[in-house]
Amino acid sequence: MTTSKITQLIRQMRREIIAISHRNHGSHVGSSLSIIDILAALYFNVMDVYPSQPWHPKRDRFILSKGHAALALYTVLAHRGFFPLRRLQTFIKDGSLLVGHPEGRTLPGVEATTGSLGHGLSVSAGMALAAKRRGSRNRIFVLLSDGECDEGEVWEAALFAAHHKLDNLTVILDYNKLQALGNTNVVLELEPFASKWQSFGFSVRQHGGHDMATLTKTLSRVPFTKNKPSVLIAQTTMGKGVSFMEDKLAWHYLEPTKEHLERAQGELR
Amino acid sequence: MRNNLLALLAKKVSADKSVVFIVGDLGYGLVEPFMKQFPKQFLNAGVAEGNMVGVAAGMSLEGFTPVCYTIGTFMSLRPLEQIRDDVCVRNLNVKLIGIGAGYGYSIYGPTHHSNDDIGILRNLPNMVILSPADPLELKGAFRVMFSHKGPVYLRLPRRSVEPIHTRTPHFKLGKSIIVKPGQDRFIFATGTMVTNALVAAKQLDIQGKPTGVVSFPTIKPIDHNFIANVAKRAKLIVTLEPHSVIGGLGSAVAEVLSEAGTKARFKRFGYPDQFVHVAGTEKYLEKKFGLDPGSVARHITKLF
Repeated sequence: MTTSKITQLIRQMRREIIAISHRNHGSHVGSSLSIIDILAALYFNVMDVYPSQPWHPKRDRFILSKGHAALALYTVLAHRGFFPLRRLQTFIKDGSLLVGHPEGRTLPGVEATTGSLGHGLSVSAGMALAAKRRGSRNRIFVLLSDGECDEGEVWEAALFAAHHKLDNLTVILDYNKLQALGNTNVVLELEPFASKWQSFGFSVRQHGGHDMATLTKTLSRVPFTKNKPSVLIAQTTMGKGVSFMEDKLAWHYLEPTKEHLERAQGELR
Repeated sequence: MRNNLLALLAKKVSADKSVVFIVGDLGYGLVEPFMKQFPKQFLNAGVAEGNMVGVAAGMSLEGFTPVCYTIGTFMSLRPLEQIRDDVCVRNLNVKLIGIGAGYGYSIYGPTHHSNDDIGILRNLPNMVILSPADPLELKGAFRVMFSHKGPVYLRLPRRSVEPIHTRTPHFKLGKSIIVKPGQDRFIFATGTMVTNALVAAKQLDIQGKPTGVVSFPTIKPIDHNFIANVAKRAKLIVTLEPHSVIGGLGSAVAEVLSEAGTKARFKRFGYPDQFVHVAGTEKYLEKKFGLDPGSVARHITKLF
């Protein structure tokens, strides 16, 4: 996809996330907008995926450990061709497989059930170890939120991944510095964040999380260092793309009203 | 029965390259031969049980059959959320082995006393719970653990157990095993307590109160049909288990009996709802809580 086409598509996906959240009474809009560029880079530019054969053995795997941004994942999967676009409209409706947190292996393209923070890195480390033991060349990507790194299991998994030299595993951190009740530095300080991952044996890169070119370049170059798992600390903004949502804690939760929707659509034209 | 288990595992991994034995950094003096012989099918996940189960789930998604192994409390409590969310929610083919059922690690204090694992895990949909009584039932349980494609928790004592069967019993998932036939008085037991039940029953025979003994090597799914049938004619049913009276075999049987309806007198024998703060051998604690064969026979005589 050309740069201008993908830029247009991402704008469209931002509009859809807000529209569906409004119509279907969904939450976590800010969380989804924070990562949509990362997901687009992965699914359109970086990962080997087979939308019509979603469980193709040679596929790269992606786990959204930050499960509450499910709508972002569903939107990208739909546009990438894993299921029809119109299915997005069923998000969190009665009987829908598009659940508030991703339910693994029911919807094409969703690798694992997530929603309780801290599980995804362990599960993806298991997948990475399995690939190594089998001699497979597929890559595993997992996206974590910053608040999620409060969970001890994340660090258990980090020790494990580095110890087992899982250089087929790439962690992407959605570092928007806002968690549920406040800034990360007010709840549980994560800094020095990069050096924590480095000391755990990861090869670390850190830059903005919204520029397609930079994201694509970095994520295409994994592993950053042979025999080490990779981590990209992506400096993101909660609610990115909509001026009144950017960096606002409330947009972790708010359901967009009709007025919010119209204002946002205007900005995202 | 750990040695029996390791022997069975060694045979299994030779035949099935998808099986991987994952330990939570224990098994000193036990697992080394396995590690040496099957390095590609062994993994020490370290003292990180939550991650261990998550990793097992990830490996299972990629076609491996992980068998996790650690002490009962650390297998069931520490990684409970991972067992539920990563394994049970998607009905993944992950096996969990908890060692030291009941007071197997008695002298090590309550952090190592596994008397609540059945109660807690029974609540998880898709979870199968196995509790073999002796090495012969273990053979069947082990086979069934792998033929069933889904989460399985296998509960084993720490110590070795003398066989109670003369030959390998016919083992079917979810089916109880009649160890000593009975007419209208029964002890339903599981794990190491089946041995205690048999000794107690023999004492009751002598007292002119013949009592049957049934082993329940599967606790979930419970053998509903068998219990409901016995309920029709039984005059006395007691349960006996190396587990709390809350939530284990006794509770599972009580659930069936109360819904099926019965004229039988019913009582659960197991460990009381309390922690143990003193040291002691397993036998010491069994006696203390009245679960040794003599005490069990006496209690039953008083009951009916």
